[in-house]
Amino acid sequence: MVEQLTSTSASEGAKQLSRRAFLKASAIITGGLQLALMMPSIAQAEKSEDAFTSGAYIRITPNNQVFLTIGQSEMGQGSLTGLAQLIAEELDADWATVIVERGEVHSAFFRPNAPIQVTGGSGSIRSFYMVLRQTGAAARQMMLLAAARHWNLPIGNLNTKDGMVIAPGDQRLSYGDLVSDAGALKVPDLLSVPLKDESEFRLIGKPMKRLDIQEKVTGEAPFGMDIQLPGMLTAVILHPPAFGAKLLAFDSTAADKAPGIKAIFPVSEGLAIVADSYWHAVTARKSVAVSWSDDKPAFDNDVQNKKMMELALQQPGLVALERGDQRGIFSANHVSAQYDVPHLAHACMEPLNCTIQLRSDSAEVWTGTQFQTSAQQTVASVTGLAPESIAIHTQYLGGGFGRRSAQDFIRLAAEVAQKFDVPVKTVYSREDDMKAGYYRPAACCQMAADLDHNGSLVAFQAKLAVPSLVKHTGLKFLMLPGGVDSTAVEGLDDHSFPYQVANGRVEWVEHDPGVPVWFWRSVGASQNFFFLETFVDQLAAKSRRDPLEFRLAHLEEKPRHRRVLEAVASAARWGTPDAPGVARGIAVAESFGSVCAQVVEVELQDGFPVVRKVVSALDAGRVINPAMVEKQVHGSVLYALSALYSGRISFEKGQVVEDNFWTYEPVRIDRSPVMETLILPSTAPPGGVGEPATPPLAPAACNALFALTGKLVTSLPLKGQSFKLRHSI
Amino acid sequence: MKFTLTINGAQHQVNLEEDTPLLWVLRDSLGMTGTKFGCGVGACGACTVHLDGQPVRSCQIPLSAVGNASIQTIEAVHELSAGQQIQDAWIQEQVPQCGYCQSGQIMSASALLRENPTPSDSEIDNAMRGNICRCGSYSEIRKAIHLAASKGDVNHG
Repeated sequence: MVEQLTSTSASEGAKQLSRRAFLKASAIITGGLQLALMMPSIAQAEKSEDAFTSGAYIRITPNNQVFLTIGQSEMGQGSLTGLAQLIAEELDADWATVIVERGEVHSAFFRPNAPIQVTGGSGSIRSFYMVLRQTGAAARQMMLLAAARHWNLPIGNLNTKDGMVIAPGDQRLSYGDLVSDAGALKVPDLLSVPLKDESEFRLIGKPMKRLDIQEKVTGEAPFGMDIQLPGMLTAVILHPPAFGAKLLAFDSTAADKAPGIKAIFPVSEGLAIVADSYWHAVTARKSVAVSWSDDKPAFDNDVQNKKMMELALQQPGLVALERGDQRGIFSANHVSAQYDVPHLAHACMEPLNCTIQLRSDSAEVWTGTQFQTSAQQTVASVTGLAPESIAIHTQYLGGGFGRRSAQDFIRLAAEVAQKFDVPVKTVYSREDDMKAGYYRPAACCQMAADLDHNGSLVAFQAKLAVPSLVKHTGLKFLMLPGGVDSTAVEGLDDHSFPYQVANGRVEWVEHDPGVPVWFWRSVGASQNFFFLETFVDQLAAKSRRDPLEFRLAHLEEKPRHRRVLEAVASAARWGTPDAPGVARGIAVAESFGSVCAQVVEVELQDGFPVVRKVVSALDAGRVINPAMVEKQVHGSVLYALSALYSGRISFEKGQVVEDNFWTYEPVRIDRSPVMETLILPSTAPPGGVGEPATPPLAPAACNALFALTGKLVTSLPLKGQSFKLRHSI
Repeated sequence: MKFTLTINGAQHQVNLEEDTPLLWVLRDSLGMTGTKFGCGVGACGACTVHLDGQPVRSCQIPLSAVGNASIQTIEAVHELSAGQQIQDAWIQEQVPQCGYCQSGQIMSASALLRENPTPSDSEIDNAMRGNICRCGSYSEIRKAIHLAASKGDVNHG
């Protein structure tokens, strides 16, 4: 009936888990079974166990409601539903009775491989695939055992289906009937609990509807911005005009008298204006006179930053790849190019915000965060409270894309809340959200390669100038041996460079001009595959080979790359003639454990490139919910398309220029291309889904533009660049 | 100043400065948080409500400009047949991802459907291009509007 998963990865996952986690069951006061995942190896977490009792994955009530508590943040990617599918699958719950809840900050929700509660790196399903299945399976075993005792039957005679234990003769007991008996049982060892064979899956791999959909079409879904508490005040921050500028003096005489104003005072980065409503706070902010120090980033404008990045590229860097003859061969078939990309804002639809109620010995925080553990530590460091006394009530996130794992808005909210004994919601205006930093870093890259007389790659060199996200985020596990930041060299280091080449050298020069930078959907892959995959088309052109054929010839040992390329080429009918005035480009990228290839169809409308169609093929390993995966591909494509067309945070006199959606323009519905998405079947462990379809879009589109116009795009965005059809050059 | 507003068929009295945007009256004074703040400059559409049946950006409507107009928000859009059809189609097509922009999308779409029961793709683009979605739900929005339109035909046919 059931058998243990026997793949290598599954048993590895189980071993990892055995060191960190065990399950604990209890019959809770209100009746029902509560099953909590514990992480006993982390001392601090154990202490917090008493404080937040909702840190449980499964709660089954006598009337057969199945509450599944999910600790990963829901920011649109569908984790609440996808993770619930994993538990409910192995529990054999009746999906119609499943109610999903957002978990508090708690050790129960730590990643199985790290003591942090974080949602990022396209990691929710990947990290929790085994542990949540095992948790569901353990609860099911307890139901079976309780029923076996009740009927005095061997457990092997019993089965489960849709929240019922079924005995021969169609005797049935619902899980609700069994909760108090099951709650008294010892929880089985997670390692030995049997898991379903994939042939028995009825939820995993199925396009189950989102569990958060109803409240998201009625306006009832609670976002951080929507928190309202008795006596609550609202704060806005007057942020420094340039990164690094310090508040020297301020005059709030006029603002103090404005309606609803409660207090105006300095915080670590700027000035807080606190009022009885957002409108009162943001209106009064305009009348505060402020003087700032003239600190600013190391450059005034983007031209200067580009020059600085070029200078940095003349410095020796840290080596991320070295193979064979690293000096390069410099044959007649030498190709070189220099690329650059700008800073990018995340521009989540919900501006950043955080509400905090401080008490003498505890705090409550309501916010949409991707990083609960860090939020707890941030509030602790500002207030001096013990981290375990700080509750983080994670709300729905109105977009995350990496931005909501930064702590600036939580730190400022904590500083503000310290002055009050009522809750205070600190809100970024859209302008604050766009101008207060934490961008995808600007980057510059030089690439060079040699081809032999057959058009095969014999040498490859790349040098990158980009800041260290490890330094900015403090997440040291992202550092490679030798001090190379993995996010800087993603796709180009020895481990991740996809193409066969015997001779090569890749170096990274840390260039940090003093702009706050952070993870942005697909992180280093967002720029590095633009560099690499447009460059590969130059190599194909130089060797007069078809871009797809050139790639396949250099990816002989990359079966997943080959598979997505072949699938996307077939679906997009690669090799058939393009319609007049239209061209297609192709690109492939591996990131976050998945591989995605895209064929992008481009035409010119009044000289501006327009993406008409995007065909994607994604190998994301085993897919839990194909409908949501398809939507993540759509979302990634459009996120990348906005950046390609017009995404740029630019600087004048060291200050950010773009301040709202008129100047930082996301793609709107009329520029949304036709999208066709192939999710390739796989029984490999799940890969990431939220990000991997982002990186190939820009290079595939630029490769199409090269085919259409003969112009090599080396700088993004496309806005401001002129293009003409190739035949009219 | 004191103002009386008609919102979703009920009267509400507020005492606020006349330049207070309708968005913040709804959210901060009346606790109706379904209408979202996205940009504050009328660029994103997250705050869309109906004013006498017309979709407007509530962040750009000062209290003094509302007058006796009837305001409809996401909280009561299901009372319109077009609104109910749109919400049903949104669920059927599983449109929302993060969901933050969807109140505004639904208000714009239901206003469109009321004016134009069978909109074409380009008519959908025209009506919906004021509503930004950063999650990229546009193709699902387009499908859902067509679905709602097709159901409307059946109902009225």
